[in-house]
Amino acid sequence: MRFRETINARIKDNITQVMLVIETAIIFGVFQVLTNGTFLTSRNLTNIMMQGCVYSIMGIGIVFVMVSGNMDLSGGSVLGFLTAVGATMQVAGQGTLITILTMLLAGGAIGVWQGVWVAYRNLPSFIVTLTGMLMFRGLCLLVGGGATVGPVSKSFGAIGADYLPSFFTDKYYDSTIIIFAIVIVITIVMMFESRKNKQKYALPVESWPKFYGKILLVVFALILVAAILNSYQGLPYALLLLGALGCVFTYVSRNTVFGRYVFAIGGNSEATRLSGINVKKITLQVYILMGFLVAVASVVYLGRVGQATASAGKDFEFSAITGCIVGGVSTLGGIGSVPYAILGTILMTGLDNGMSLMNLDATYQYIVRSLVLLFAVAIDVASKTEKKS
Amino acid sequence: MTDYILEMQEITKTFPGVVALDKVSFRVKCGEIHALVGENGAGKSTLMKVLSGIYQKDSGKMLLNDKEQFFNGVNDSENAGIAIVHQELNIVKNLTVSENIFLGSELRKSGVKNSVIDKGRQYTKAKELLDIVGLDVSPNTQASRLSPGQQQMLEIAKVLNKDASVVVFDEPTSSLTEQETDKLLALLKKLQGRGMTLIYISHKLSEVFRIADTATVLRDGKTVITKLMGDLDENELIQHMVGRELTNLYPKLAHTVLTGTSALEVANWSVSHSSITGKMLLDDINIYANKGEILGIVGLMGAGRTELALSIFGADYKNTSGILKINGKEKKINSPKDAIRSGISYVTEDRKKLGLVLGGTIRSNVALSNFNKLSRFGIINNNKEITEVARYSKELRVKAPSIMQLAKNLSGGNQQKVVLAKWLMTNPDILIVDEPTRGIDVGAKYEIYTIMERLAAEGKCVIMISSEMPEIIGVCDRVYVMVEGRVAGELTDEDISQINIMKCIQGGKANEVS
Repeated sequence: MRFRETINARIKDNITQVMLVIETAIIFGVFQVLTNGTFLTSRNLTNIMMQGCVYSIMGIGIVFVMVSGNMDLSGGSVLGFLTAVGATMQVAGQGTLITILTMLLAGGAIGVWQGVWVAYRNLPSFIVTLTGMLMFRGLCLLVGGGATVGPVSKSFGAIGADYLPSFFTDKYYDSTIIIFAIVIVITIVMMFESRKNKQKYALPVESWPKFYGKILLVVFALILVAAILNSYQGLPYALLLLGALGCVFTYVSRNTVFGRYVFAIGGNSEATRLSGINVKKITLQVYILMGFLVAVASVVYLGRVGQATASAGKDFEFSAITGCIVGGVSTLGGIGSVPYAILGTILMTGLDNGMSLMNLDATYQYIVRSLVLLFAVAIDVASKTEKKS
Repeated sequence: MTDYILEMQEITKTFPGVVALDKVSFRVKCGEIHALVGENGAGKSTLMKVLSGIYQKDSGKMLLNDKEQFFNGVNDSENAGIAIVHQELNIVKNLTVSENIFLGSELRKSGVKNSVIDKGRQYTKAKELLDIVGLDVSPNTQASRLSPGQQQMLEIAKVLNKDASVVVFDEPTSSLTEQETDKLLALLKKLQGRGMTLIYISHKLSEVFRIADTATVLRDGKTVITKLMGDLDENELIQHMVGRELTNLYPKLAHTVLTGTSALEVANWSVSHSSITGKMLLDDINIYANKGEILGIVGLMGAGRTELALSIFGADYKNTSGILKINGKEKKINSPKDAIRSGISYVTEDRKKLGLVLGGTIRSNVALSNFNKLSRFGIINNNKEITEVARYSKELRVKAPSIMQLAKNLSGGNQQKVVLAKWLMTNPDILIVDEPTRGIDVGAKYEIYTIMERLAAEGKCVIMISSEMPEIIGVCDRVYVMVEGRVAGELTDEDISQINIMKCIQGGKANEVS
């Protein structure tokens, strides 16, 4: 009895990790069998990671929005609108750089638009972004004229579709190996440094076996990813960009004043306001950040697909939000982490990809995806609310 | 046959890592008012949760009328005749008084209309219950229109409807005014007269002495003593609670008021109601506070004390008029950020709702108002943050394994210290504390008074808003009495007494009538 209680408590404390492992095992196992082995090929896995980049970059923004206790349903439509803008500019002969800058700026402006309504007019974010979902889909149709616009220039396409070239040899992708080696070394050094620092200030640290286990796991995962990429075409630029954004925004969430304020607002916005923090300003900033990240996702998406369509980005917000929740971001605000949200969104891409590989009818895809989100939220709520009799 | 209605024998309850109750014995005689006292974390709440079936005991025996009981939930204990009036009121505010009373046990019509509520019968029964508790409102009044004191009475009416023979009152007076408390205590005596057995949990020992027949003291999950109130005095009781002799409830006041050096002054300070035109929340307030002074602000609930603090702090009430001076210089304060910059800090009344991010760590809570010191260019200096937070929480003696402990896992007293640490780190010249000791134990109270005393001795200005007369009398140099948005009186030194304060409050009301 006592033993079971301890186990239950352990699971509850690490619910995100436990669920990620279980879901990964189920998704990978089931699809590997159902697709007769096509799922776990380096080609398909690379593909999943590249598709996942778009969701993950959007997901980073969702993490900040949801941690601050808000919601954003407009991501997919905004992405559709921004790709339409970008593709139109490209077709009109504008340069790659100016196109990207315009898209980023437009993303930020959309953030201002939605953020002002949420923060300064006190409208529920759910409603504001629901209207945004319709508005930007409409603007997407307006800009693109309902037709397919494209193709984009070669240099623009590179961002979403190309791979990092080899440095020295053509036999294997040495650039990928070198980058991953550097990342692994830095990760290990940083984990040791952080542990040493915690001990210096007598803060709680995990036991040595757990710590080493964690290092081994991280290193193993990185090597696995490197191996998968290497046996196909190496490291895509998009993934490199995601990695960089992941690092930057993990840092922002943990080590900047802005990040702390976002968590505090999501935890208790009134107490945060009475602590002398301008909650409205921070909320607006969160939406600007979200708009910016959706713009980055749009650039990657447009580069990979090469053209803008009327339905581009449809349901993307669903995958991004589901991924974040699977990655432990709480729907109740105040809790979430960027790296786990990225893992969650990649996992959800795997789910989408697997269902497509199986040629599962869209009808059932919708049903499966809705149930995954529903259960993910149910687990989140159950693990975060105290048991009431 | 014993004359005990309830016997809890050698109850043990453990949670992972903690023994919450260690062979606790608790016996209540039929028809008595039995006080259960102890510091926060002594195990009172856990014991009551075992009694009501929310928790299951690990070992021990529970007898009700000599019959062993096994409760697996609140339903079981209620069926057996045990009811609890919780500290947090469970009133559905958008329902009427009678709907609240019968919530979950609605009276139905007979026959085919069985699923239809019999409003007539509910009305009559509710009226009876309201008469017993002395709540003079119509059963059709919406619950949101009741004052906190009236809501407490409604809660009791709900319990009466359940026909319980043993009723537990958990801190029933923590949000009541002096008068409402008197009324409540009289009601409890009345219920006792009707043959009910009452268990009374309170931090306010004066109340315990006024109504209880017997007291049981818990400390660190163990029963220390059960004694008739007549054989106890307050000092002895406190000694049992804290386990050591506490010579004084209040620290010795050694600070000197620097008279004539006004730290804070407000003149013609008025706040009008945001939606009702012509109604004033604060009406032409003129007060000052000196450096090195502990200034008290007392008044009944709704007298405008918190509104005054919030408007000075720039947190609320945009339609404020008047002049505010800090150190003699006029200032405009439009936001809490402005206030902090001008040297004002405000410890809110409700620490859980307004003071803390409960899901955050001690570290993130204390640092929240202080990133101007703990960061550069928006990047947090982690080492500085950790050392500073650790320094303050050590200074205030926050009891926690580390500063990474979550705020929600701390006891009330420690939570309050975390809030105080946050505000002390902002290094305020003027510290406003709103009900700083509500719901915390004697030891922690003493420590909080000590901190206030220390600040005053450093020449800072401390303004304490409180409903607890003894602490106002115990620590304040000067007191303003507020009545219905106005300052009704000012008392200094020896004149600060319960009688004088009540006189001011009554006088203030009398003026209104004339």
